[in-house]
Amino acid sequence: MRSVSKAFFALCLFWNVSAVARQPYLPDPELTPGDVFDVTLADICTPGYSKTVRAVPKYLRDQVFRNYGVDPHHRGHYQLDHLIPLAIGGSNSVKNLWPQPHDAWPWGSRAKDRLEGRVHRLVCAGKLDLATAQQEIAADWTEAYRKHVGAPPVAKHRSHPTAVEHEVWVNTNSGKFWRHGARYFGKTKHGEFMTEAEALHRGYKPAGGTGW
Amino acid sequence: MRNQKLTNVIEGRIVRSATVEPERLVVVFDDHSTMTVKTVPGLAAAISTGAKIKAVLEDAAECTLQFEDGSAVTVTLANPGASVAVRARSGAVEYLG
Repeated sequence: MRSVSKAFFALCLFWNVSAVARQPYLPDPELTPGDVFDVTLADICTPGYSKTVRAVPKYLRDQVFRNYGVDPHHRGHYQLDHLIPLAIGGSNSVKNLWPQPHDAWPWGSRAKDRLEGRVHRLVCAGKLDLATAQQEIAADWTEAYRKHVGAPPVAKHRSHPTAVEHEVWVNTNSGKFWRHGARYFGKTKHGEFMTEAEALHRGYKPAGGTGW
Repeated sequence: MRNQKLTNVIEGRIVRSATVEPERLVVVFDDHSTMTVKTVPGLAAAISTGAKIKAVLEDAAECTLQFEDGSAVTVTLANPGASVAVRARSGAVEYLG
């Protein structure tokens, strides 16, 4: 069953990748077509799954940056991203890793993190098929964002300051959140943006008691 | 270089059986957990029953299992980062990479 699913995924991916025009904020489909582990829905929906499988050795990290021609001195501008998120079965293979620019606004790493959290919830709630989710993100994660999250994120210094000021960054590992302007706002390894009201409703607490 | 994460998972486990297939190695441990390693085709590796895992080393695609008795087995991973799976007796994921 897993093999059939993987073959189906590969076939769908081939057709989609070949049809999409690439943008700078998307990985090179030749280098990073996407790759998945043999996992089940039960595996990925088990709390702590992503942490269990997060393991990218240094030689693989180096290989990815080399493949993309990123100068070692400029690595800080990128986040090594799993194209198909670990949370929905993506693997640690170089076929699934790419240097994602932090500043490719609006399609930077924060937007991708937000998509990943949303898709994981949809898949585990039975509202989105796992193989479909993997294939959609591998084909064009920005399209998947539009489909499952909504319009592209709004710029920070922008026309809707009120909405941004009420947005917080939740560290989904620690359960704490930071407010806009706080040191770790949007910067922890695991997390997602949401309104403060939503964060409080979901049981998250302000970091340090204040979120600052 | 030691794969500390995988070493932490299987260190001390004793090999109950090991099956070498053309493109994978399947090791069942005494606690009934299973480690599956996808390897390049045609690789031969012999693992003795009763051997106790000491550590796991990785050097690019080369993965070496070190045993307490001083012996070691090296296999070439088919797809580094996505070739090794360890599951507990219950089927729960213990390691993927």
